[in-house]
Amino acid sequence: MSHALRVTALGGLLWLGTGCASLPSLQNFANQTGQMVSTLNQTYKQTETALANQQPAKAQKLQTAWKPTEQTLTALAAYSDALAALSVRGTNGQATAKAFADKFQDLGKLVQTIYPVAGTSLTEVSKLLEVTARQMVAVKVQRSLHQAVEQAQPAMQEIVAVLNLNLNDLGVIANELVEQERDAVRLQYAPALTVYDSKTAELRVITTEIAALNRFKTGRRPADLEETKVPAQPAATLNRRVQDRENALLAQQKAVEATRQQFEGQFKEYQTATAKLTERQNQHTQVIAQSRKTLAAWLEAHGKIAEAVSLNQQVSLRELAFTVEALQKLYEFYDRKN
Amino acid sequence: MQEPKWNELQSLRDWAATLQQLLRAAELALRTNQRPERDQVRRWLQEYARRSPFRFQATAVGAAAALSNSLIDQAIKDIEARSLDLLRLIASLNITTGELKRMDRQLNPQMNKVALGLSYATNAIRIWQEAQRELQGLDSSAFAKVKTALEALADLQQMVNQFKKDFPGR
Repeated sequence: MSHALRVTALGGLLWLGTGCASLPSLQNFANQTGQMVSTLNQTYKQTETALANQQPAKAQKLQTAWKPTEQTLTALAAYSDALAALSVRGTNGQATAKAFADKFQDLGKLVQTIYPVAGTSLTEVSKLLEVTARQMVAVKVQRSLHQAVEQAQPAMQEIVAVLNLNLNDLGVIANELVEQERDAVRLQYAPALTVYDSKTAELRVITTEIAALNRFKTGRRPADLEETKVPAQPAATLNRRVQDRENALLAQQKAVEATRQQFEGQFKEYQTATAKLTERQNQHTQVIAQSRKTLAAWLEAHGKIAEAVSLNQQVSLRELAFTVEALQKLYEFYDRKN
Repeated sequence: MQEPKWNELQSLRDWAATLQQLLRAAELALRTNQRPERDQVRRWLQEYARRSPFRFQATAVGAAAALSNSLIDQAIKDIEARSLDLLRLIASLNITTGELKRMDRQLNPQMNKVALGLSYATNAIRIWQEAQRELQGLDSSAFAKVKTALEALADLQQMVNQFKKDFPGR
């Protein structure tokens, strides 16, 4: 009996110590999923708020239309949490089984000191322990995780594809809102900008002619004169005409510049306002692009879980963690700027 | 419609004619419901508003806003149109999540049964060991302890049988 007992117990312990490496922890995957879901919700909220500020009725429609997307994200988080909980339970279960095995070993020693009658039952206990560790805790959990992930992967691919399309549409909405604001700002400043732009154009013409006159005065090339409004005439009067024209242009330049200066303040305000809008537009574009990258990294990580579980290896989440962090940093960056 | 040649627009008449063309294109884009066309005409109207004489700007911006709003409406409709797909996928995902949770819930009582079984075994052996020592004196209390030990071992055997039922084929 004691030989059989020792062999069985030893077999069980050996398996626990070597062949059965611990199950991969999926807690980190669940954490990353949680963070991804939270930032994707933030992306949506940002657009919904902007829409509500400009067109509340449309924001209401968007809210209704987005509900299933929100539910999908919640379902993804719940699924990842369930994966993590089971993997943790599996790992804890293995630890418990190991503790049982140790206890059983003590029991075996005790039996050896007394009577062989108890042997039969204890051999059964030994087998039971092995079943517990190998089949119930490890294999059952392993099989459940593997099966769940494999079963879910095609649905995940579809989910990510639909989420990407929805994110694109969210990007369209965010972009159009900025464009509408840009138009409104443009209209607000239009009277001042019209004057400012026309004076700027006038100045450009004046400066070009003055430069041509100066070049003519230095090089006496007829081609330079053709760029000015000084008509060709005898050399005797030409110099005076050139000088008169230059004086007239300089006076005109001063007057135009003075008018333009009056609108400089409004022009700068307009520039600042549109620069802010452009920045907001860039943020939306970057956030949508980064969200898509994050979803792609998430899908890839999810796909690797099945294999990692069957091989009892840890899942590499470097890419997922990197993209999630990049998305969060984008928000932090723009939050700081605003 | 081709993109207007902005630099060739000089007179008010040129600007007015171009605005007419753009408004017609906007109307057509709205009617045909084509997102790229609407997007393109919206961009031309914005460019028009940026370059044109002041008097035409408000009209151009108004038309651009109409196109822009229709793009927003379309985006919301497209998101809404994918709802059924998502609801189907959520249902499938929730089934998998439910299975995982069920498995998780099942593990605890099973582990508890094992713990209980081992506790019976430990207890039985201790009593047996004690009885073994006392049997040498052959008194009645020793017999009682042997009886208790045998009962404990019988309980243990019952646990083992239960596990065999829980894990058929082992």
